[in-house]
Amino acid sequence: MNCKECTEKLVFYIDKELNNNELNTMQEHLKLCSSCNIAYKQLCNKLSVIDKERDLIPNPYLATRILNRIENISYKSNRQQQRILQPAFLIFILIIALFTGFLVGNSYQTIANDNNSSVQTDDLFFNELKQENIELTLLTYENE
Amino acid sequence: MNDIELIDAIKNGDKNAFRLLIEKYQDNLFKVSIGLLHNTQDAEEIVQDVFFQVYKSIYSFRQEAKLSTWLYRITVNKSLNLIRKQKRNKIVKNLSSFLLINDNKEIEFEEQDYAHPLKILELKETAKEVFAAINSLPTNQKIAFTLNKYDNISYKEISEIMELSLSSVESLIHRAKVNLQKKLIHFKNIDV
Repeated sequence: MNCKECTEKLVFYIDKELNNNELNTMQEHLKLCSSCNIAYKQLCNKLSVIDKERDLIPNPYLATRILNRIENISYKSNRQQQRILQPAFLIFILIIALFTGFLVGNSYQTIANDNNSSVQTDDLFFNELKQENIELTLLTYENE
Repeated sequence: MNDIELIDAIKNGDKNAFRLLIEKYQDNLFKVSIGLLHNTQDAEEIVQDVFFQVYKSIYSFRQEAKLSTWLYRITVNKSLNLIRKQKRNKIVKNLSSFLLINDNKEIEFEEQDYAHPLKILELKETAKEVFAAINSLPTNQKIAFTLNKYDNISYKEISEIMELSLSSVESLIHRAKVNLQKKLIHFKNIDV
């Protein structure tokens, strides 16, 4: 194995992704070649940064923070819903009140109209009779 | 409680089940997110956003894919969106500082760039170099490499997350490693 081949496979050597044959050849070369050994150590050192970063853990209160955020947002959305629903409910009640008012008003008018018409027909006959009586009385009085 | 039971419990309004879901996956999602963003605060924000989205859209989850696959996919998408947003902001800030509109904000951005715990340590320079090398990888290589390296996700699951074939994922990770190696080994002092 020459140095070029060795440096091309260093990352796979570090990650233990070489077969046994390649692994042995690499190990032998690294023992003998100081420049490849330096490159190997350099790469190991740099890739260890990834391992260190990988070992970082999130804030222990992260779960609580997430749940609080969800609670806050659902509370806010509830408040928003309330803000929309409350006036909508009031408007609905007002419309129902107005509608009921119109209905009651209309039904009262119909009853009143019905009553008026019956009174008028009664009155008509009554008045006509009365008028007839008065006319007859007056006529007879004049004639006398 | 397995994933299916957890989803059913959450759909039935069980808040404790949602807490269990968070506790089960937060570390994994955090690892993937920090692997793409290299900033703890941003990674935590992304994890929060992921679970918030899950809470909102759990009723539309039809369980065609595994829950973990769905979670990883949301995390990757959100992380990539944040990277794009940060790039846009950086361009705007650079442009505004170039036009001498606002100098102070440029300093704030630089400080924020050093929020990573590793960067505070003596590894600062090395970390910067490694993260720059990872960030310079093509997007698909970066995603596949991060999922595999940071959370030990199998090639099969990566192929499901990225909706690619298994061989494509193998190839992506192989090329990512070769590219990283090229960027991280300096041959100045080495006689090849």
